[in-house]
Amino acid sequence: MTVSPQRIRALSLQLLLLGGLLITWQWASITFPSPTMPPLQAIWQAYWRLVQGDLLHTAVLPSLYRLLVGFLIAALAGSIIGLAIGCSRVLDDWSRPVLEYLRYIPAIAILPPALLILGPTDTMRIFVIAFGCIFPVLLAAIDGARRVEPTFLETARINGLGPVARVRRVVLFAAMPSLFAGLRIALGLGLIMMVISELIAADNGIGFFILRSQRLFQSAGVYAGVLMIGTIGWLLTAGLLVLEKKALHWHRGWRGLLSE
Amino acid sequence: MAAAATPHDAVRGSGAHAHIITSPDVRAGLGHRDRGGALPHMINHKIARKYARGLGGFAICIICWEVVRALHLIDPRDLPSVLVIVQTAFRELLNGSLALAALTSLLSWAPGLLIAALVGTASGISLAMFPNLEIASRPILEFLRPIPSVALIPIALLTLGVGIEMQLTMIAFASVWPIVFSVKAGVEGVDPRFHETGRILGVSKIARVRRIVIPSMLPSLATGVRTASAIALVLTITVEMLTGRPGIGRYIDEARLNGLVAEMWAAILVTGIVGYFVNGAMLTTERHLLPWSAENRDR
Repeated sequence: MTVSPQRIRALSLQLLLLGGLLITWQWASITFPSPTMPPLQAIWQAYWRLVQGDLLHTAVLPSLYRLLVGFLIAALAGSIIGLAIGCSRVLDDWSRPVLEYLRYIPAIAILPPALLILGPTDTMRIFVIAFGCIFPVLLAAIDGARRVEPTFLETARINGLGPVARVRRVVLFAAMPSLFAGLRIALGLGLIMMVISELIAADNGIGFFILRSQRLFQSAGVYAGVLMIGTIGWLLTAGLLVLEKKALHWHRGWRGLLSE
Repeated sequence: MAAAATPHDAVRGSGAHAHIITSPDVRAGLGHRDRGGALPHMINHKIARKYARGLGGFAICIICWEVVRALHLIDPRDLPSVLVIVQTAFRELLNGSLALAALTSLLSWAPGLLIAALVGTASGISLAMFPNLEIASRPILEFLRPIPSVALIPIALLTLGVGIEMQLTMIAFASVWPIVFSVKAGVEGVDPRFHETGRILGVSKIARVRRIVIPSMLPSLATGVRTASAIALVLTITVEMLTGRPGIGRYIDEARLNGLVAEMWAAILVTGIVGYFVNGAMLTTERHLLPWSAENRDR
């Protein structure tokens, strides 16, 4: 793969802007020392402690564990319920208004009752994350199942596939592109709910680390925590994209054939 | 009524022409257009059935709630009956405290969203019109965008304090992204022939932005603002909950801390209704102000 001149130009522009911003920050933090703007090396040290120091086990891993468990629960439950609703007109009529109402409640509003009922436990945090994640998955699954090519379903029926097999072998695949889009949105919301649940009630996790650093006026820790959340979000989204590419290779190929 | 309908729906539900006729939007659209036409009776009947089922869905949810309560699966003190919650919601709305909280929230939501719309439109247009700027800022934007704005609340607290500036900044920062990116897509989607025609007719660059770019990207802006309005509402409530700014978020949190369980659930109920109406108002405004966007919006 050769590097084209445009690519070099783009990279140098990007580096120029990024470098300019970082240098301005560093200059400002040294010239006007204030607790709100720590120098870059302090942020880097705090970040490094999060990556591989003592804080990895008390901040990063607990957060990651809760996020993944909550996200997986939401992904499974959301896609199963969503596919069921998407396949059945009657079920859709029954559930649509309830879903439409529920999805306008900001997921964060569920936090105080969850705290009341489940207490400040991991179950509560996982529940809140799953609750925040489930709606995009659910709606995407409904939407995807609705867009099945009718010919495929008819073909499947003519070939004697039962309803369950039809869902598993036709609807699921047809819904997948939409489902993955929903999963990506859900991941972002899950990250938000993870942070909120830890900011409000936790004794470990990145959110708690950020909050403690803020209360102790260790602003480098605050910035490092935010950077860490950005890193996690970026890594998980990249992972999901890889998964999507693997799961949907047939879809891309199919679309490519059509467009040619 | 439902029984008579079942065989028909069963056929359709299991496939056939499901996506052609039964997408709810299309169906609603049909009902709207044909109200005076040949099939009004049938369509009204269908709509009535749909509403009845929707209400049935709510009824089932309420019954489940009450069953969970009755079986003590969750401590009934934490889960007041639906009737009590609705009564409390009405009482609190009428005596003003909840209505005031909701109004306060909306009054921080609206300016925050307005700032986001202005900043987002300006940056979206500049990103689309100056490719170098877009290339240079791409890594920064791609890194900033996925960071949940909630995580930035502590930074905002450190730098801006607990005042209204902090709340507005957070709301605007969180809700600016969908606006930036949909405005950018809208500007990039402008038919290049319009630009060329403008250039041939000697329209200056600034006038081209005002007379070609802005009208063409308004539908995308509207879509972005609608997405942003929901995000802004979430941020409004979150900031209130975390920092004690007045509003519905603080109302919910204080109700929990004071053990006013019914008030807490009532406020959550009202939050959902507020969110629903905000979205509805956005849709209606969009439809009235930008009638030409309806065709573009339909996939």
